[in-house]
Amino acid sequence: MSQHLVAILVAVVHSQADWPPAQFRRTGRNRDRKRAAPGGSQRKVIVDLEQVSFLASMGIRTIIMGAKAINLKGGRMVLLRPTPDVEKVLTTTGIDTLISIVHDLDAAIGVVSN
Amino acid sequence: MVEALVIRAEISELTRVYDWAEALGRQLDVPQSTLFAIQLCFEEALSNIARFGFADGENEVPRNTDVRLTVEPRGDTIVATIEDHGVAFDPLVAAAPVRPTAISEVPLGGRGIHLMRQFTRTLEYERRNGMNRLTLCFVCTEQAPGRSVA
Repeated sequence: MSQHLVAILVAVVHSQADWPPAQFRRTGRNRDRKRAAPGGSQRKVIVDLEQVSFLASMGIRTIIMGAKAINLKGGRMVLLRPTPDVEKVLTTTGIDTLISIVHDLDAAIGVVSN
Repeated sequence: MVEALVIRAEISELTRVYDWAEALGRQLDVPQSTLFAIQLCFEEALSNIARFGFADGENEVPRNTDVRLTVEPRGDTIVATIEDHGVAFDPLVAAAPVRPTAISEVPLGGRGIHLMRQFTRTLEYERRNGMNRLTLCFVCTEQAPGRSVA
């Protein structure tokens, strides 16, 4: 069975000097529907979508779950470098109005650090 | 030329559909964005069929859970159909989701039909002989396809 890997690199940013972070965890989602919401106990989370080639509403659900958890802790999440098709999914569903989308790492660090 | 696939109305079948569409896309030389739209709409529709299409709980007779998918190139478009034996459901009458204003208020679901509307040129539904039939038309384009965001 071919696997469609949706790789989400979750970076926990403590400060601008922390990039690349000494600690990050990589979550993977394949078609077996393993699911891991980004964020955990962290407050500043950059979700790198550069390697994410496909995103549907199930994936959006995962992102929202993470964003809600981070929001409860007073933190910020930003989505980094989605492909044009993935970004269209995010803008079509209005997620971009709630979770910032940026295409530059420095900008992403700036967003979560504010 | 019409390509067809029959699956069961189960979430576990989504991988097979995705791979089938991927192979068809290569075979038909479909632009990547169009293929993305096809795979997205298949996933959204099939997820709904699997989760809600047989959930009425009233029918004790084993239901036919087969779902038939077809894909056909027509000029500069790709026409896909999805037929199932689930409870009658017309996605075209579903209300558009309210755009959220705060992350705390955002529902986890309820976006699939809206995505299908936005990623297709046309979306048609009919109920006939106890089956739902959804017809989706996709424009072959390199750009992220569909209609303008509502």
